[in-house]
Amino acid sequence: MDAGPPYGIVFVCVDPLGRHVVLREDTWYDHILHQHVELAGQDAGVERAVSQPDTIRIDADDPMRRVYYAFNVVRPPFHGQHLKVVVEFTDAWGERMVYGEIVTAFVVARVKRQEKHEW
Amino acid sequence: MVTSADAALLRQAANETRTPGDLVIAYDRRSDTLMVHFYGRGIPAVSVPVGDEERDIFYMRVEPRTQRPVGIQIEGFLGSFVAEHPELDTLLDVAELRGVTRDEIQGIRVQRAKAQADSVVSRFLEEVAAG
Repeated sequence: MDAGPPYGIVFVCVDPLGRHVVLREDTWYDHILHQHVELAGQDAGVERAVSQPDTIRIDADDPMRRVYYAFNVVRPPFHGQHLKVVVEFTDAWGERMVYGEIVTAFVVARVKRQEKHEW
Repeated sequence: MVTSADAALLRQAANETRTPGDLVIAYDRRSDTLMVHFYGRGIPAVSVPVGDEERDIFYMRVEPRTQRPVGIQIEGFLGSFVAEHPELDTLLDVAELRGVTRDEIQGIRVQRAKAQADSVVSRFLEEVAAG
């Protein structure tokens, strides 16, 4: 009998390249909000950063991770900053990544230069 | 390279009076991020990269309204940062850990020590030889 998922899900969304990205409750509450309280109540902003980013970059250290940046999606006093969301893709069809999970998210002052541009 | 603005922020953080009991340190394995909250958790802040503009792995956490530094955030902590700044490795002994146990941290340390053992010995021998 299927016991169901061991964790809840905050949201599932699709990025501009058609990839499904999920934010798990344990990641949201136990890591992101625990370390970045500025994102409290901003889950819609995190979803928007993934589904409508300004840019998607390839993680400088892990080719299976993508970094999404969205400017001005967090409420004041963070409205003039970027929201950075790191997604780890775990499923692929051939070379095409299809499913990823958000690893972390935080408000950052600039886009990391070392990250190569994907979208 | 540390800009003058970065240096001012770093000095401000270094010179602030803090209560040791307020310091909260946390490490998340999956994101390999170490967080140090100077005044406990719960202060909203923006992560401002400091230093190497290419890598951007070391951030000051700055409260936007007051511009007060309230913590630091280090990405790639075990993956790369601690190799360059081994003195910070001890922070893991007092950090809240997520996604990793203390035994696993010790295992990582042993692996790193094994990889570095030869160069450590060589460096020591050179220091002795130099008198």
